[in-house]
Amino acid sequence: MTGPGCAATRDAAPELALGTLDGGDRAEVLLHVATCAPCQRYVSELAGVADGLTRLAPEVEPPAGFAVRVDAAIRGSRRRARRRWMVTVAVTAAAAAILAVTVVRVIDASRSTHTVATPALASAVMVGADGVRVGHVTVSGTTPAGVAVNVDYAVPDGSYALQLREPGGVVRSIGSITIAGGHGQWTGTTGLPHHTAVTVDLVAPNGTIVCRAAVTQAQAT
Amino acid sequence: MGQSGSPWLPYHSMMWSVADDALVAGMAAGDSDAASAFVERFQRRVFGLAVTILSDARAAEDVAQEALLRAWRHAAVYDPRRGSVVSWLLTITRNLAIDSLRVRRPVAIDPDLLLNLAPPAAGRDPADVASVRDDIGRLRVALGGLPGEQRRAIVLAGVVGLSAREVAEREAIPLGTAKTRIRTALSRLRVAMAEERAE
Repeated sequence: MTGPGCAATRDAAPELALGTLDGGDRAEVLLHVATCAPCQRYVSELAGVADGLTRLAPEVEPPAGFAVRVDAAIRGSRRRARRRWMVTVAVTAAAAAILAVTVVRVIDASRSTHTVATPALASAVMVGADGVRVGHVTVSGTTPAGVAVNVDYAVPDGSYALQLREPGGVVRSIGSITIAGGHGQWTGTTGLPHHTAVTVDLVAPNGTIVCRAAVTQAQAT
Repeated sequence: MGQSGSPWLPYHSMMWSVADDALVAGMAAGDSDAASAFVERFQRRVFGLAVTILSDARAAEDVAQEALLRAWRHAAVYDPRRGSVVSWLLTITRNLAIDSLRVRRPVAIDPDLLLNLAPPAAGRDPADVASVRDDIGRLRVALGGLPGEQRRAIVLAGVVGLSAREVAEREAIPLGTAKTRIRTALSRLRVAMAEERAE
């Protein structure tokens, strides 16, 4: 096990569950929680109670027209997302064509212009328990999509499985990543078309999901 | 679907009766009817929590709208194994409200409104207590059974999202005392809920 012991973790667990524990303390406690099943259960029970507290707030009728305004915002957001997706597809197609012939155009001897082809990428923050950011996942705009997983914070050293969750709910292993000195990297492919939204989980040997990144077109960079 | 004379309910009408999880799945698939039904179903809870935390209807409306939009955008990553739809949505709402609150310091919290979330056990109608059937009802009863200072501390931390230091400042008590009240209260609620389930 890593980080503080069980007693210190249980002392800090209420604030961890409530989301009010400071960043440094939180990272240390999470290190322990990630590898200690009894403390995981304890934090999970407290988190369940903490979640319930938000449900005690009374239901209040929002101002007139609220639902209509939210509906309109959602429909507008949907149209913008579709436009972004179409632009990404167009850029990816153009980039693929450019890459295929490796174009380097020289306009003249004194001033050259290079056409740089960079496939569209989508990336997402990898988030661990209680929302702590532990790294990021990047998916390339190629088919099949390439994946790069980078972990650089708060994950205990060791070997973890990488699982891919497809939109239809299918979960499959895509490889394993070794964290050493708090850092780890992995690259591979999803085996899916580039525009597919995927979730990548880093899974401990005991089956616990340590952290997760959800890569969608909405997060494309 | 939904043609006149059809024995089937119109599609948008069916949406009003489907399970919460199914609505989120529909949103993840880009179904606007599912989104409309989701907004209609949860708008009062979301706005209620936002206005409870912010005590400002205008700011609460902004937070509630953004919370529902985020639920729409991130529906594909909702994982039912990690909690119910309403818990997921209210956590989004709470986090947004806390962000909004931190920009608008000093905190304008109505203490009476917060205490009304869980009146002391002695002041409750026994019929209300007897009729409590769900977890949230039991949690409300357990919260009402806490000493007043612990109840205030856990509501300020758990609902309003104040840190222990902020609770200490607000209650004019040492930081250590605030931490103790929060920890003790949450631990007692956990035990109370576990006992209820065991019975």
